[in-house]
Amino acid sequence: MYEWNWQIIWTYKQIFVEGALVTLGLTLVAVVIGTLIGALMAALKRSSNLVLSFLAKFYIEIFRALPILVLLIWIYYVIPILFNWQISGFTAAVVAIALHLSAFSAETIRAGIESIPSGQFESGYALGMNSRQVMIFIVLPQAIKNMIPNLLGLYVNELKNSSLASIIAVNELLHRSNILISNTYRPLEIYTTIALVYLILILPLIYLTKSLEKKFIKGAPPFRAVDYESQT
Amino acid sequence: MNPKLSVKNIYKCFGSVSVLNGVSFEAMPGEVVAVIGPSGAGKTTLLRCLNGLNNIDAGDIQIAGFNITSKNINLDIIKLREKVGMVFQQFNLWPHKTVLENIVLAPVTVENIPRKQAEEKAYIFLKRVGLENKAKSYPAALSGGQQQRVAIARALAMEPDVILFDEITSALDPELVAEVLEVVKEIATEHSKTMVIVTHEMGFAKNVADRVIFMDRGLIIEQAPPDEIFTSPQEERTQKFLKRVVFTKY
Repeated sequence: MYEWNWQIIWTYKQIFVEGALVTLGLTLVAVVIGTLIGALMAALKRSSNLVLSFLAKFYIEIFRALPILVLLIWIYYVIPILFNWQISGFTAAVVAIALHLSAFSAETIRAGIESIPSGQFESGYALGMNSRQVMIFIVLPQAIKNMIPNLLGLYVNELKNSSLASIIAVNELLHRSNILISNTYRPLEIYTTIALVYLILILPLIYLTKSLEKKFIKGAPPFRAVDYESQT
Repeated sequence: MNPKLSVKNIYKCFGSVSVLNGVSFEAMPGEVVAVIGPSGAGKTTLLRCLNGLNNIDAGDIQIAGFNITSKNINLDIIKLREKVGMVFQQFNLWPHKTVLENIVLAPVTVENIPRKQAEEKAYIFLKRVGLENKAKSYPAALSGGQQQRVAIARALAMEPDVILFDEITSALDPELVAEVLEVVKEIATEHSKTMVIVTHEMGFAKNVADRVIFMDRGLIIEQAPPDEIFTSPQEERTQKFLKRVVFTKY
């Protein structure tokens, strides 16, 4: 019978906290960069310039198809040889996750924009607004409500994917735990604990996604349909 | 007096389907022109060509001092649309903005009018369509007829020279049609705005228009003052069409 020793977790609690912070930081930076590139790619894909549109489409297909682990390893091991430029594991992981996310978020953002009926665009154009004004004042405020739950879902996925960075020795949650295991020989307690830490990080996000989905999509009209005047 | 709107021999096709096959007509300042005809006649496409929502393939349009061609060289489409308003079949109000915000958005962003001044003006136009007490409501809280009246106020707020109405009562419940047409009729009589009205309401066309254009298969078949076209249409196709349609009391 295995003898559990949970004391060890308490002793090394610092490792889990620091690991979780690196995991969160890594994901956060990658999410910001990935979403910005995704928005750019969505805009390019919708562009009337056929070359730009094709390039964006090509980019999105490539990074949607590549497994993130392959991407990660390729960036970490190939770039230093090709360009004689040593990048840190953290940077490589940020780049890999950001590229992966950018392809998926581009499609989410594009779909969100295209979910807005063409009449919404046209009534803006017909009043003399240019396409930038129509996008900023009319389309995006409505489209973002459709996008946010889906984007959050993608972010949760990338938070999980960030554990792959342990392969290239980034000091995130999983990697630190692996080192701890090789020092303490307590894999069961430690793996159970990191599973719990991931749950603590991710479950609130999943709950947030679900409640936003309910609010924006499944619930009653997404916009306040309250007639203030007739109530007073 | 020069015409406010002069359409010369315009053509438009979507892929292999030709929708406009050489349409020409004019409208004098302050004139109200109603365009009638069966579905698929090209009425809506004609209207959308007049403010550049659709490009034309050939021909020439002079409207409110602007020149639209198939190439659109030197055409400032933004300035044109400030002068040529449009009201849509589906209202197309922006659901995330209140009635007041719907009306002031274009004056504030396009014409750079201070918000406060734009809001004061918006109330004048809301009053004209009888909805000044709905300024703070969201479109979803309004009936279809009210929404369409807001859309009319929104178009008026740009103070256009020409207003295009695209089947503005087709999406409305029958009992809401009258309130919208009443507003249009008032604008037509009170203001000297040039109007092009695509409509299926024959009674309304008869009542409000100075001239009625009958279109079929991308061509203008006949145009005449309403008294003439509705009582003694000259063309066989016009006669056939008018025999089939229902007259309403508007």
